[in-house]
Amino acid sequence: MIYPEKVKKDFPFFAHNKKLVYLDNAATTQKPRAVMDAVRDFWVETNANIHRGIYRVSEEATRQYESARTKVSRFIDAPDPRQIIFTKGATESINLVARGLAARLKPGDEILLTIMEHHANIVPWQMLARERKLSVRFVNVTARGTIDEKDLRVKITPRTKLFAVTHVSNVLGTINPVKKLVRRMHARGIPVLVDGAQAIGHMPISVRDLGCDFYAFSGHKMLAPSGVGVLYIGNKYCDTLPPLLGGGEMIRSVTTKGFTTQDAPAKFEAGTPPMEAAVGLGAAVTYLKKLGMRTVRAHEMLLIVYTLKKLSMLPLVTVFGPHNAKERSGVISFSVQGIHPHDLAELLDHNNIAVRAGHHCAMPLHRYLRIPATARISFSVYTTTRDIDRFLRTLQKIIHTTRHEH
Amino acid sequence: MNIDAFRRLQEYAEHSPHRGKIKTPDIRAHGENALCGDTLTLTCLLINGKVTDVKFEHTGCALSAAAAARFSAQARGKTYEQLKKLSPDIFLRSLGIPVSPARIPCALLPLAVAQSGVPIRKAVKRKRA
Repeated sequence: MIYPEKVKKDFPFFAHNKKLVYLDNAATTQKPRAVMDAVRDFWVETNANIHRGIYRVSEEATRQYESARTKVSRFIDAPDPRQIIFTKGATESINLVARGLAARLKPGDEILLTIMEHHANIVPWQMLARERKLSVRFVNVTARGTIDEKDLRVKITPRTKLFAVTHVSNVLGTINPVKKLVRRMHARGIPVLVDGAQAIGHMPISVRDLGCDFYAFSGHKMLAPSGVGVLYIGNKYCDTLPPLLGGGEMIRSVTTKGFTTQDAPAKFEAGTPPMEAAVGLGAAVTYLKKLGMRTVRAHEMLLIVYTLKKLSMLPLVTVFGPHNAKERSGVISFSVQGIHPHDLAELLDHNNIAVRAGHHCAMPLHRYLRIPATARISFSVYTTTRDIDRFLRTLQKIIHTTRHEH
Repeated sequence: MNIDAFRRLQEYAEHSPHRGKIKTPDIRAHGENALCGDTLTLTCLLINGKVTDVKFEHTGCALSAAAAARFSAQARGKTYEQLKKLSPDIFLRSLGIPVSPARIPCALLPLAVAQSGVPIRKAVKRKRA
């Protein structure tokens, strides 16, 4: 059981912004003191470039960086820490895979996505498609906001060479049945990339159980600093996928004639990585593990049930995505008839409530749903029912005031 | 923006005499804000090269609606070229409310749309009428 009021005390941001109700956690989360301390301690005590110095401080820096990798690998239940690649974020992780697969794809091959993908899981494939003359196809969603099984059946063809799917939709909140989808794709020899940006930090994740070939996420959406993300690479691709960047650290030897690369993970981490951010990510993992990911998920489910019930009682409000808490994560998009989401977000901001409004980097989904934009609230470990109540009260006031005007 | 400011914007746009469209315009401009899906169509009537009337059709937020109404009200007596060259800073100030950085594209939508204006060949239209 999480006591969010108590958890909130771990986050200095809320001591500084006492009146703010922060409901934009799908965009980025706040950082606990433990993460800030880890970053500061790294700088104060052990700052030196990793993997290089033959002196103790550098060795300690390397140890901390690699220990963060081990923590992350346990957190997502990866078989081996060497399958954890530190990147800049989920976007870079997906781009790394897209670039890495380029040489294996032939003109006419197909990349299969879903219409609920974030731009980060659309554009890298479109760029690749343009270059390699591939086609990118999209699986539709049902009116309930889940993957359309019938359409999926039609869109898998012998030419499908990769399926890239989001674990949790950043608009609809839908939790996709990734394990089932992976099994289905693998039966046809299709590798699967999972965009875990909205799932990580919200529910227990086991890449071993999901069976996916790639799993991408960002640190800053799971209480860690920005600038660090992760790509989990399945064993099959660990040794064969080429690196995205060339440079220091990723090579075994360089001569004037050429170079040979290191093994994973070093192969994929050219240049000095965001060391302190990775250490911060390790601290965020420790913090989340202490709360317990099952408990975090249970806390979010309580908030979802509570919010959906209260929102459905308000007039003129439409909620998008599944209405069953089991099928969704703590991301709730909605619209209010007669008030544009941008106006709504600004009116809520005037009352110190931070929500997101717009297309949330998912323009194809909004076009598919025939809505120009939505307003979105999203939760994290420190979100309280009191936060939700303040949001709902203000929303109700706004709706009431504007409705009486007409 | 507080709720009063929001209502003022809404009312200003709603009661604007420039709402609607001119059936046989000299210039028609249409555009949208890709970020939020707001759409705006401007139709202009010119006499001796000067704007005598502008009407707007709009879907979207209260801020871009009010901006469209304000733009239309300012257009009279100017040439279309002058309208295209309207300073964004001066226009923002003329709205009379503070516009936050994230919402500047909403407030400047009519200026952006005006850039895409195309002259309509009226002779053809009149024959049909």
